[in-house]
Amino acid sequence: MTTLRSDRLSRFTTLALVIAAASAFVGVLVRGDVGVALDTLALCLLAALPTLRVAVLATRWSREGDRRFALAAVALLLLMSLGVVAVAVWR
Amino acid sequence: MSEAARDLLIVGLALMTSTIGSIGGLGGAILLVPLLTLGDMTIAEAAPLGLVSVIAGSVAAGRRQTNDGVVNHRFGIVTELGATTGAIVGVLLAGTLSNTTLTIVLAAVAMLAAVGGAWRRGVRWKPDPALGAREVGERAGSLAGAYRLNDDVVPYAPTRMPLGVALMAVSGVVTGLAGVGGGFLKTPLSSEVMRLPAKVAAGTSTFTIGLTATTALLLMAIDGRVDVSDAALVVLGALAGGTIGSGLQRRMSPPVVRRATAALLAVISVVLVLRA
Repeated sequence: MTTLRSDRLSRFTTLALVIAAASAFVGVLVRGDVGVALDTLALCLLAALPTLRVAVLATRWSREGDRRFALAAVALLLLMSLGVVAVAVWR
Repeated sequence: MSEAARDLLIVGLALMTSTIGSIGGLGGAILLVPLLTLGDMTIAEAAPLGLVSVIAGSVAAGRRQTNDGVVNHRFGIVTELGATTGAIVGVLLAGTLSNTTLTIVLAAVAMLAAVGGAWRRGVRWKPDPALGAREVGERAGSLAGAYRLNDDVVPYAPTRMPLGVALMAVSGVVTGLAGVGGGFLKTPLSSEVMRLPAKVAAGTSTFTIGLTATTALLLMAIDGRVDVSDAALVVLGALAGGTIGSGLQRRMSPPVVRRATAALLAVISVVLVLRA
């Protein structure tokens, strides 16, 4: 069995969550341009995490020789990118 | 209402809906968006905040759920290939069906899934005394795995994958057409069609709806529809809600998770009909 327990991704996720929460909290208190910048940082951090998780899984599975699922993860990332481009252009 | 009271209300609503959404893997947006529109927000303004709540709840819950071994990433990625393909087709076809028709279809599917989840009795996968804590997690090279249930370890192996992925694609088309995340379709499909344990279905759905919501939020950001100040308030509430919800899910038995999910699906169905 392979898990993501207690590994670097889990620690990175925790760190990113703490930074995002602190950034959003201070951003709400401060307001103004600095507040907006901190709020944007919180959003960008959070939005990057799910995609980053798939990218890390693709790399890990590829290294472990689990190529079928590594390929599926890469295909999903490509599909998501294609979807964003297709919908942005279509509109 | 003062600005501070409005801010606190947004944080409180995001906390409550993310807590509920993380227990059943349904995401909180389908509850948060209608609640926000009861105030002075339009659906167009509330929708991006709903997506932010899904992402924050997903990431916050995902950390604990991954540690508990209730997220099957391989299963999530394979089924998400179908759901994302369907969602892209759905978004491109948006406008071909009226919003009312779509909402009623979603409500009917949610109610059907609620009845299906509530109908089933007992647990499908039993603990295996031969398995230890080291076996908790996903099995490399397959979609099978094992999760921790109290002091026991429960092995499982999803079935009917071709049918499940095809239905995920159909659910993707419907959610893409309607502009919703689709957690309330993914969880019952995983649990009742592909026979994933209720807790693993909820944990895996929480992971995949974060991906769907990220893509949708990016598109809304391109359109300039994201108010970052309100989004930050939602982030605060949803991060706390995701953490609380995943903690509650850990303490619940699989039948309780399944019944709670069924009850939520019934509520969502009613909310959808009221919106229609």
